Amino acid sequence: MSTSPASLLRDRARSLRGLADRLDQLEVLGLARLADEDTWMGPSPARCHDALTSMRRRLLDEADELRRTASRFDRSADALALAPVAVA
Amino acid sequence: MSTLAFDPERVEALRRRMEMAVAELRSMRSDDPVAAAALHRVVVATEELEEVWLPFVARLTDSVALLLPGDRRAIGHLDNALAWVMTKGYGWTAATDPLASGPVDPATARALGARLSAIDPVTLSRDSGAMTELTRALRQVAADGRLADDLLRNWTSLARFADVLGDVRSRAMVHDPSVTADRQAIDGVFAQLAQVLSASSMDPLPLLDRLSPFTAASMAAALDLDDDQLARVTDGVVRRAGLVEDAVLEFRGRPRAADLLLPLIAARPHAARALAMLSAGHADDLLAAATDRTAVYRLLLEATDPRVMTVADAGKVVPQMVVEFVRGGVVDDAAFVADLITPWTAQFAAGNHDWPLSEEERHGLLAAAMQDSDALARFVHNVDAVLRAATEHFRTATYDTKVELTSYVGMIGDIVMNGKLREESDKRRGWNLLAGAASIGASLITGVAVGLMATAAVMYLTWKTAPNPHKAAHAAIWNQDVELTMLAAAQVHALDHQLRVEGSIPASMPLPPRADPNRVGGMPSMGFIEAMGPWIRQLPGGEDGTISLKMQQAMFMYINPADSEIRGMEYVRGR
Repeated sequence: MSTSPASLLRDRARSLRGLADRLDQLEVLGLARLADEDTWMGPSPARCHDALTSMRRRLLDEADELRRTASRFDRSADALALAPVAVA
Repeated sequence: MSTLAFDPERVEALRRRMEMAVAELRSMRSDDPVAAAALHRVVVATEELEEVWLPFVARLTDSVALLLPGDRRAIGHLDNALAWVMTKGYGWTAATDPLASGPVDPATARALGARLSAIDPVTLSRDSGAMTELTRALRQVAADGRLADDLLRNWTSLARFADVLGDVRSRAMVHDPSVTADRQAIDGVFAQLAQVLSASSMDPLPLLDRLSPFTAASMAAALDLDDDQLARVTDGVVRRAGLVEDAVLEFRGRPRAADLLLPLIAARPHAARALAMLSAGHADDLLAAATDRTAVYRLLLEATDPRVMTVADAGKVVPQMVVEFVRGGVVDDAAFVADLITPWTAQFAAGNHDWPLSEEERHGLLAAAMQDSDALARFVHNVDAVLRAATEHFRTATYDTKVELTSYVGMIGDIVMNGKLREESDKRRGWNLLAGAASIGASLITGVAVGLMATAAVMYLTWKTAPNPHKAAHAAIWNQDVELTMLAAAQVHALDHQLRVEGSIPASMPLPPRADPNRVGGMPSMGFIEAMGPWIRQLPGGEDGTISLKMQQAMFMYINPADSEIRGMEYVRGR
């Protein structure tokens, strides 16, 4: 297994994408839909629905952010791969 | 406070998905530092679900919704008419919103009453969240009398609700394994319910009368009842508890209803007095209803203390209780009865008329109370209290006390000399009691020391106990004159003894004359008065000296020429 900086960055990017994918598929993301007006109504149900919707959005935002970070790591790894090898 | 409506099945599904979501969120891991923000977001979401929304949803599914499904009154104030449609036609449930904290309005109060009428109190008691919610709602209702009325008018099964909850509480108190309810939560509901009752225009006492004894006691303990109300409720509880608890609850080792109320009563002397008056005719019920018999004794003794109870009221309570307890025949009661009559011994004497009892009735009561040697021993143990009360009685009497005092000393003599005191120490106390009783008269004469009346007691007893063939044949008026004369003589001799010890009367001075109970040719009192004349004139200072005046005062406490003359005429007329 390669332990070069570029490969380390790619490993991290892969791991972060995996985490983002898991965030995208979390059970919690579907709760808001289950907590809509087909299920209940009233001030607290509405607040619960809002909270779950907000929770969903933030988690998806975090997933996007993880992917952006992963892409940055990939780009950095590519740059490192193209750079001339330093001579001691 | 507001309401909500929900589809129970979908909320149950939501709950299950939330639980799965929480488990999944908890499994999220990453070692990469740049994932920290995302994981922090995961933790925040987990906590919000676990601490806010999952309990909220669970409350709706597990518990009892506090409003009636499909009841228009229950959701009458919901703005959204769709909620009504859903509850009416689609099996939705309406409930108070567990997370809402707004004020209770009249519609909500009525709705709550309607819901509580249909709710199962046992199920409710198992739901700590619902209990907390109910407590909170009741607290808000209690703050406004109109809301309290709104709630109670719609709470048609209040008595049943309270009874069932009270039953759960009593079982929780003995850690019944089938009860999962939190006792403190139930107490909280009872406390707030009591506040609601207090705030409403409803008289709580009829409700308490309808409740089971234990529930009534729980509720009454939380109500702000005045002394008379508390006594009335306690009396009712005690009467009913005797029937119920003896048959069922005590068998299971449950706490007793009276145990909840008696400590409250004991802390309020006037409530205790009122209870004693109410329960005088069935005081044995009071004892039967309480776990701690000695606590009842203590309560009754405090209630009948002359500082709390008037003489007239004591006349309605003490004799009845003596009858009750003596009839009960419980060993422990004997000492209690002795304590009970200790501050009221003066009222048992033949010459006393404070209580509406005949002389025979008083004599019979006292004899019954003292028939037990333990009671007698306790009575003489109480020597100081007996004498203190009797002295106070005679000191504050506004009428001529000499006949009464005479009969009192005679009564004490009869008690002490009835032969039932077995221990030497008790006999000594009995003697002190008699000597003290005899000295009460002396204590009422200024300047005469109390406590030197053994002589008087000896003389009196000598006459009382010696066989006297004439005595039985004499009419009552003669006997009374004899008693008065003997006591007057005893007082004079005791005073003479005291003054000789002090050196005020020289040793060479002859002793005072003796009374002759068998005098021929006139009343004994007149004979003693006549005999005292020459002796008094020999005293230091002469007939008008200080010592002579004290001697006359001691004698005239009991006898004087005018009364002696009248008794003499009555005696002759009655022969």
